[in-house]
Amino acid sequence: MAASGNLLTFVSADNVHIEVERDVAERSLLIKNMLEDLGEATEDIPIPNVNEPVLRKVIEWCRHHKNDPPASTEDEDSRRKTTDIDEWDQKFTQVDQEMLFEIILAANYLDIKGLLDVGCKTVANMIKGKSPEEIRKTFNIQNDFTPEEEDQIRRENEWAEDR
Amino acid sequence: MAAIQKTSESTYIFLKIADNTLDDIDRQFGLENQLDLDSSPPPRYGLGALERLPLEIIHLALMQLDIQSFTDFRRVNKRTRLITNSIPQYRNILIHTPELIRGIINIETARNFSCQDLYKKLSTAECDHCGEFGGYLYLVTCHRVCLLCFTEETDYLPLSRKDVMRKFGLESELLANLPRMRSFPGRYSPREIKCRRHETLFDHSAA
Repeated sequence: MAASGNLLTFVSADNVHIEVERDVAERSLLIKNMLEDLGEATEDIPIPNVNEPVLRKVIEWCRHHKNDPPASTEDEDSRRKTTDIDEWDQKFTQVDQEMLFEIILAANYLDIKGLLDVGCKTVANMIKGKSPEEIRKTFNIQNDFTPEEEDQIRRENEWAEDR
Repeated sequence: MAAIQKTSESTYIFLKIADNTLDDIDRQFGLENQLDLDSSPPPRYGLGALERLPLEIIHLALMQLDIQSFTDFRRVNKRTRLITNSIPQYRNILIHTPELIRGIINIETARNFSCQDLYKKLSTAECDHCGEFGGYLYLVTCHRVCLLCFTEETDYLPLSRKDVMRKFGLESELLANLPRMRSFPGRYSPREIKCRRHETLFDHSAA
């Protein structure tokens, strides 16, 4: 099943073949660099760390963002606020937590900066504005502070009111 | 407001910089170093679902958080506290200027910017307004300013609710979106009157 011309074939970890246009696939720096090294890709490309459903989501993101300008400079990045995720990306990241984490891991592995960014912002937004107890619930984290320690932590940032 | 105000022909009132800064308030309370607590027994639990992500990605996500949320995340358990401590930017802020973190939490501007913003601003030296050396941080929106701009530029003099509405004709619903701070009760010049209430003050340039 060798791909020809502008179509590449990805093989997911669970051995599913998925066809991808070359310009879409090149949103991944890993793939882009690999293709540059190889010249013409005539064989299937194994993506050993990513399962089919996740890989399909990642490709969906790359397809939507294939015409994005190259990654903006770091300075601009920092000026964008956490909540600034564009509407399409917000819908895209409305998946269960496990899927979201898998997408982030895939973006990290495939070196897709834009998608990694969106993933991290989504995780940040899951934490943002929540109390410690709500954060524990969100991620199923157990508390191991003693009551005295909790009390100390609560007070460490407090200025006592003027008496 | 000028640094020196002429109130009548023969009286000058000197503006006290302490009115505009937080260091003196912080010093009053003599708080222990925040890192002390971390010598207690090691964490018993991990990060729950977040454990799935490598540390560097968790760092990336945390760097996006405003400092209030970041501080709340530190209170989740021992492991989250250790992880936040291991972020170089945050660690540096905490070691060199813990009072800064306490300050912005107490005047409630910690939701307006992230550790990354604060760290970047701390790593610069020039006033954002005039480019001269700036020795102060305007903490409502995290800008570096020099004494002159800090005390004379209207952009860095936050306004009360009444003033914002009068000066800019803003509806009160719009005020909710403006960067703001909460003042701390204490004695403020010129008359050393004791202010007991927390006043809410709004950022001028955003208005």
